[in-house]
Amino acid sequence: MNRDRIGRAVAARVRGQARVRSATAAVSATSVVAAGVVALALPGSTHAATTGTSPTGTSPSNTKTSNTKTSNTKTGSTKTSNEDNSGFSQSSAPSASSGQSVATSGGS
Amino acid sequence: MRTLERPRNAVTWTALGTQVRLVVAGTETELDQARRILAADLAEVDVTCSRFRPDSEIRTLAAPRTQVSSLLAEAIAVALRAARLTDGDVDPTVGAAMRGIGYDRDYAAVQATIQDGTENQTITQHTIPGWRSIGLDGRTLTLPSDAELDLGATAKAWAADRSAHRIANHLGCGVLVGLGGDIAVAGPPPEEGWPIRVQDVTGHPDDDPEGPYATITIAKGGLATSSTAARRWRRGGDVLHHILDPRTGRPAAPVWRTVSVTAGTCADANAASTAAIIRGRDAMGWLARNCLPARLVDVKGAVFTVAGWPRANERANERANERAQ
Repeated sequence: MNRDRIGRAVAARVRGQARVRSATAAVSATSVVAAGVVALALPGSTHAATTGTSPTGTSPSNTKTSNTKTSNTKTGSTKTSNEDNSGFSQSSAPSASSGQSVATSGGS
Repeated sequence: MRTLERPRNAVTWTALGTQVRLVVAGTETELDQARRILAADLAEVDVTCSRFRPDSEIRTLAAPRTQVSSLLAEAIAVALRAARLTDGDVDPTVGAAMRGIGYDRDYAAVQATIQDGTENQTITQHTIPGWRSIGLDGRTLTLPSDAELDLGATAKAWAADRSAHRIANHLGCGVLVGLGGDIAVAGPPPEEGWPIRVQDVTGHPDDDPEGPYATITIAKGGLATSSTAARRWRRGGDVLHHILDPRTGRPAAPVWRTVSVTAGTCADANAASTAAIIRGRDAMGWLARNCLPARLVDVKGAVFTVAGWPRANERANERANERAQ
């Protein structure tokens, strides 16, 4: 009797462990998918897009991809970013320079 | 690529009420030729687009439908594109509202009347028809009777793009055209790119800047800076500046004093930098979503960067920080 109970308990434990492993795998897979979705939804470019959140420069990388929707918090409008971000022409990011400038850009 | 040689290949003068900077990666002869092309281009843009000249084409527009020159059609098309890209933050129908806050002459003339005490102190609120109220089909422009176009937000940047490409195509050398804070480059760049210092107010590169500044290089496209530190005046007890929020008809709230953006064209960079001033705190996320490398300086002088704009080489002259607040 005790041996049966122990056997059932062991079997139940094994089944439980299997369920946990299965659930863990499912959650992991879901996490990967979710992370991908978040990455798709995050703003920024694939080339070191950064957002400074403080003057000292917190710069998390962002990833931009196609066919995601972003909301404009000011106007409430929604637009699809597969236009490569609403149609602004792009250029590579500028680089820092220690050379003598040939022109200045400021308000005028 | 030819190595940039300085200073013989750069020249500075004034046109369109702002500083013109022309640099060529070429010879003195090419610089002379480039200068002639640019001067002629800017004269043409001025007589077409200036709302301060009574003889300009834009002052003669008649509602509801009129044929415009191909040059004005191009300038209006660029303005409408800027309005669309910015969800109306940059709106070419703010002409009457600009007049209402006292910006109805060249800025130097505005300053002169303030200094001699003859300035009208009244601020008049005008309804802004909105960019969607005007239409452009080829060279046929339709606009409501209350629409007064002001291309000041976009025309200089577009003119910089246009002339830079015209000069590069004509001479085959690299060229930088700077009109105020709006800079376009075209043709083969110097080996090290075009080093440009971004700062609160456009000046000569040999002069010390005031406030935070940084030197960056670009190799193609455009760079534009919008700032509330320039073109400021006092009227009716208020300190005003020239960047209007089309939704209020008033100068944008003071969140950013200077925003610089790079893009594939100077016109797009300018639209984004102007919109960023107007959007205030929402600007950083919006610029990042649009993959536009940008540098923003808040009213206290703190510098923020977005979308790959380099943070190295930031410098500051604190005197200007105190004045800007």
